[in-house]
Amino acid sequence: VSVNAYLGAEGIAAALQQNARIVITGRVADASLTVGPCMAAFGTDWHDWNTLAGYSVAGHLIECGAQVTGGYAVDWSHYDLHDVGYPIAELTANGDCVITKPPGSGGAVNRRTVTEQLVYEIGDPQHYLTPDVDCNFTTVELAELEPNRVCVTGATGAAAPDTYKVSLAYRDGFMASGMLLVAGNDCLTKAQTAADIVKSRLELVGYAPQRWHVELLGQATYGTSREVVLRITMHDERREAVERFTRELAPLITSGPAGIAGYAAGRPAIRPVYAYWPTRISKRFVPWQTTVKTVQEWQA
Amino acid sequence: MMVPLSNFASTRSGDKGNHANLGVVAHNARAFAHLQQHLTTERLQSFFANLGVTEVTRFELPRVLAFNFVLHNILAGGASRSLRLDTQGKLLGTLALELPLPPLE
Repeated sequence: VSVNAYLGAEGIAAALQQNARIVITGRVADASLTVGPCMAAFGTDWHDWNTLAGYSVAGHLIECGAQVTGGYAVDWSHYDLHDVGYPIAELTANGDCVITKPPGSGGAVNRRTVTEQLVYEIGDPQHYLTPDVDCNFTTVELAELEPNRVCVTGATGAAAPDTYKVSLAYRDGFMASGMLLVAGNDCLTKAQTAADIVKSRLELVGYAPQRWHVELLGQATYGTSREVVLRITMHDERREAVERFTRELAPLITSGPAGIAGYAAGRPAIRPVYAYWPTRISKRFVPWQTTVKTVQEWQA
Repeated sequence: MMVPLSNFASTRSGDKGNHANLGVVAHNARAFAHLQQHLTTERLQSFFANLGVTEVTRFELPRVLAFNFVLHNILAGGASRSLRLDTQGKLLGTLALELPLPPLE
């Protein structure tokens, strides 16, 4: 259905060097959004791997917005998140940076908020690959300068990979999820029974689910809940089979166990599934170019 | 008497296709050394066994007192195909805070 290569910072830097004020691009690696402006501003050599790694670390740290300023922090209760400040990376030409946030905003920037984001969604920290550079996070050092200012130094890098990451999406059948609230001391057994009833009825009409998953949300570790949300999800290449599933929840109101509610939400929506297939492609197969025009010229 | 991982570290998790990563940030150098010894791949493998993890890889970032664990095939299909409510493994970090470990001596 779609195939996207994640481009690097080169096109962004080229556009900015031609005085573009706004850059519109196809898919690029998150860190490259920071690397591009740095390259344009500092004129760094594209083979200065340590410096590129520094820019990329800064980009990785701010790519998820407030996740580095107290959002999603384990210490969330210490921070005021209702007006959480979005991060600012103050970069120097050599790749060192200070992570901070606007004065007076909520949240916090400290060693923990920055480290939690540094290790977010990474694989091997010695090889954080972007289209621009192969970054080593294990040489990075952090220092709390003053409140809400953390200095990030020491990133090192090696030559960029000669491939781009590709994210490929393909059609993969249909999915629907339905939720019901189940009450009572026996809610766990009851919820499981209700799910079994729905599944048996689908089998009865020839729609045995290809993928089926039952979750009992709110179940305490030792199974002593008095209330759970039953969530059933079905994934199947037959749209009509998933359609039938969505019709099998409401009948439980009169045909299933007592103490189940939540039917008013209506039938669950059916959604097409686009499965994800990550791969790589040689950079030489993905040429890019930049076109810089004024607003008037674009409108013409 | 075991104590929870939250005594020693904070955590954050996210997805990488059908794998998840679990970042662990030690509170201090002493906690980091303790986790180096006790927060083993075996402990994580058994803690997350019921979510279908097939392999756990551990990486260390000693300069920032952190670890990164890759939890292989734990997402039941990954963000777009997962049948779970938490399709991206965002909650794994919070769950891991309860992982039991020996106390500091």
